[in-house]
Amino acid sequence: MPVDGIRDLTFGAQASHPGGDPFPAEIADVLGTLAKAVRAFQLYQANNPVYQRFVSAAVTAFSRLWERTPSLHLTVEEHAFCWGEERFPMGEGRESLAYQFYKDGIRYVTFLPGFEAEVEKFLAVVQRARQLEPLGGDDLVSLLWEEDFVSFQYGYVDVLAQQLALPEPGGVPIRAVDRRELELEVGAASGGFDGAAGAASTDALTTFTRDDFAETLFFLDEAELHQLQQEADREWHRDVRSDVLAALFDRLEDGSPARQDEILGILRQVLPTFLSRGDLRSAALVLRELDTVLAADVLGPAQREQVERLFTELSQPAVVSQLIGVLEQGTGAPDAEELGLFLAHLRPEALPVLIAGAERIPQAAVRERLEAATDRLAEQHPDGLRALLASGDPVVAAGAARSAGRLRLLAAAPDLERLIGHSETHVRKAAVDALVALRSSAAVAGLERALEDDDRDVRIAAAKGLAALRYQPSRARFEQVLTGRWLREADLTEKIVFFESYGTLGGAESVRLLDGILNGRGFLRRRAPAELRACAALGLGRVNTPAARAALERAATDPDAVVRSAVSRALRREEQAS
Amino acid sequence: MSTTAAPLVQGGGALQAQGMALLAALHATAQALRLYPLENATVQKALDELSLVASRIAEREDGVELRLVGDFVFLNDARLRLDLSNYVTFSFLTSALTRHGIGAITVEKGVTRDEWAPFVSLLLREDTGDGNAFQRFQERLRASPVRRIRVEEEKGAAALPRDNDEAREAAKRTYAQSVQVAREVLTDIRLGKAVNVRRVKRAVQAIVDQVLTNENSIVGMTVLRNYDEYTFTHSVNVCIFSVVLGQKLGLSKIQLYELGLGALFHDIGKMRIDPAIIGKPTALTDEEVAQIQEHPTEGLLALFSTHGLGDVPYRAMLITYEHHMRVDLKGYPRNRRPRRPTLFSRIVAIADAFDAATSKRSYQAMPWTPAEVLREMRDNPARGFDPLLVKAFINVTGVYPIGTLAILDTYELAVVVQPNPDPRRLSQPIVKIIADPMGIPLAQPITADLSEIDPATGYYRRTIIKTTDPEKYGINIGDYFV
Repeated sequence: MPVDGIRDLTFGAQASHPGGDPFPAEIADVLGTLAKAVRAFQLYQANNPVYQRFVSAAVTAFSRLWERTPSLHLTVEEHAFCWGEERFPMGEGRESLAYQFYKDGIRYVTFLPGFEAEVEKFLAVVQRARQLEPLGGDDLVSLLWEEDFVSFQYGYVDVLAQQLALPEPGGVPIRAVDRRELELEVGAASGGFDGAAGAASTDALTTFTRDDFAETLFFLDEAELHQLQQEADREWHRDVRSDVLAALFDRLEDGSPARQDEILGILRQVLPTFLSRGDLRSAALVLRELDTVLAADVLGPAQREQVERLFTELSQPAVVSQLIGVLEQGTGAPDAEELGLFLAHLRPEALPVLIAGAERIPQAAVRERLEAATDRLAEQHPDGLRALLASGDPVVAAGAARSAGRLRLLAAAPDLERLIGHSETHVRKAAVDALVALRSSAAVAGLERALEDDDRDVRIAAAKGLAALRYQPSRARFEQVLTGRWLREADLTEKIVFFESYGTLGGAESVRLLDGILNGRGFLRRRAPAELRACAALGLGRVNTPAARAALERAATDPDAVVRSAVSRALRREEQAS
Repeated sequence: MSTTAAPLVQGGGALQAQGMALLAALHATAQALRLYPLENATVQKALDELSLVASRIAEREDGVELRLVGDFVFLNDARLRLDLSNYVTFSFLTSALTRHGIGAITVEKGVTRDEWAPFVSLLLREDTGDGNAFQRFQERLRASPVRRIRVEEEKGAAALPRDNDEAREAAKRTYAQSVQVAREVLTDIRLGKAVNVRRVKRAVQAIVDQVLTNENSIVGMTVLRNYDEYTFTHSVNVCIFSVVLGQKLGLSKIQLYELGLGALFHDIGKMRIDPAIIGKPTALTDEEVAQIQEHPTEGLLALFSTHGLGDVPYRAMLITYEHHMRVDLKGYPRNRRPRRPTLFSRIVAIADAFDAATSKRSYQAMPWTPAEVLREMRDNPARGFDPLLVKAFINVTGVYPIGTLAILDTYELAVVVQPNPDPRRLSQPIVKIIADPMGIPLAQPITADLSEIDPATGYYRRTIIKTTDPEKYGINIGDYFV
């Protein structure tokens, strides 16, 4: 808008107002409420009632103002807004709204009806401007420009542009042109086009007739314009970073060592930037391409070493833990696939941090990616993983155990067995789970040891694990437990697990003991406690042999309802199994 | 003359927003009337909205005039901006007005809601008769109950708001500031100093504003070839041409800004090439050509090393890197990975080539005429420009771009000052006649529309028969634009 345009919108300095004296008070009210709303925007979330009250007050104040005037034009001083002769101080500090405008060169502001709908956008811009880096690329003027306000205008001065020489006419009058000179030029050109030999003169080239540019050929029809507009729209929404990176890698591959150094320097710069912005896709792209470049063997020795160093640095616990920190806070909310792509390029140094991250991250999708990355590295470096099983950090030890289990790393069985003696329950539990996952006799010793663990869950996991392995030699260890004292004091669930596990593991060999508990009588012909008998019935239900069935049927009419119920459940299961 | 501290006024697109709302309401009403009877609630609601929006503008602006000039729609004096969100409403209005030969719709204060339904219905009608469509529309309008909505016949370029001193001053200031910023930035890059990104932003934002509000004046500045060193003016000119073309494609303000920023930086890589080679007036050796061809890559690297990534958008980097690549990828730098130059890069490639070829440079004593460049871009696919964008560019510049010196069939000498806004008259620009048929310079140049027909003969009053080199006649074209 032209500079003088501001006068058309001015109401204030020169304009009279119908309301007389009260009007400055209303302006003061408007500016006061606006300043309070700015402050509220700084302090509260948008859904906070206090903030909403201040915004509402500002909207009301402006709405009231428009009943008196079609616009409000104010000049800006360092610490005040001015309406004609009236001055409205806005405070002396850097937080003053007037100062904020003034320091960025804004000298006039005009509010128009409709500003009410833009108040919050205005507050957001003011707040953004307050948070800008002093020497950054933006200021209040550029932010206001980007927002394209409809009902708010501002005039600014560019101090650096003052006294700038503007282009002016040269002042040299053109000479009179001889008509014959023109005729000659036109004639010569015509001759050229008429086919004069060697007519490729400048004159010929610069001669045009309307036929050279038949308009119909250049009429951009709606479909063509639409096509271009659609392309513009697509391109605007496309992430062009990958194109920029592709350019860098193209030139990295064919550049001189000096250029390669520069590009590698840039990549070292952009990687943390991508990571800090949660742009793992771009970060992954950089790493993937660096891997490609390494494989292509186009780098000099020094540059190759730089790349290797970059990978190593990136995989350092201190670096990876930052990423994990962001993931843990959930602030980045990265795409799991992108995370996977990135993690795929980390080196073994990252293993402990990845393991710990996978243990802590609550989001299942992210956790899966971390586990996948852990497993990839662990598979490549099993010794590294085994070393981590002895980690002093219980979180790492537990995570390493889980990874060993997922990978069925048999070599880790002794390390896992050692973990059964770990002081932390969750580590012992992880070790048991891992031992179970090994599905090997190598895991048995550890699992048997875990049957006596202090923690119920660990014991249960071990029992289930041994049952799954069906490792017959463990039967004796189960019989010790089942006939021992402590199981009788365990809760029902644990009892059931142990009896069912024993039935599963022992098969036909387990019937004698279970039948004895269910149907037998002990000292003074007393039966075992009903709960224990019921558990024995459930154990028999897992055996699935005629003897087991016969034992169950014998107890089918037991006078104890708990036992009867368990027996019928076991029989049903057996029927289903057979 | 130098600039003063007079403030530059920004923001406040009130009329713009109202215009968009009016077009949207008109379009919605037309759509509703097309589908439903008048009593239908959708129609009634659309009429309510249209009446409200129009009355509000009429009250505030003391009347409403929607004027169609070529591709452009003006609300009163404000040219409404076409973008992706509103091109359908533009399209509806322009096709309806063109169909009936209407150049402008004027709405008086006090227009009632009941007048809108018959008016929009008339706009929707197909015109099947021969001869003057506008007259038939007028007759139907007179017979209707519409009293406060009037129409004017299409007048072509004559209806276009003319360049004025105020607009020209604003354009001069923007241009001068932009050249200064380009000089500072490019020099800082050469010296390896930090760039004042804030100033760059303001410069590009100002150019975008000028293009959106004052296109012809700012484009006129690009002919000031001798105003300053080529490198700096070229950067600014490419920025201006790119933004103008981007605007034609309906890019938003922010998109135009990014395009302009990339355009301003497009040759930044040359600052890292030996100045002796850049300014060498004689033929370059193969080695020197190879060095020059490194400037897009150098530009990309310069933008990385000179700015924080938050300051320079990636799009600008791509523009810098791809502007010599050509659509067939046979330009430079060569690609090892799959790539298609972005639309923005292809736009800047055209703007760059156009300005470079029409400028006098160390190794180009005789610049091409603007028309010659357009023809080359159009006819020589080996140049590698996007043909559709070249077409769009010619639609923006006209066949004879601003600054072209032309000999008319009257043997008057004329400078093209504005393309004809009617896309059907691309070769009939608005010119300033600077010398009469006898070759005598005119003290006060006369503005003429070359699409104007002499009623006595039924032929065009004036036609360009040849474009020519201004230097041949000692003419400084820039003098007619400042």
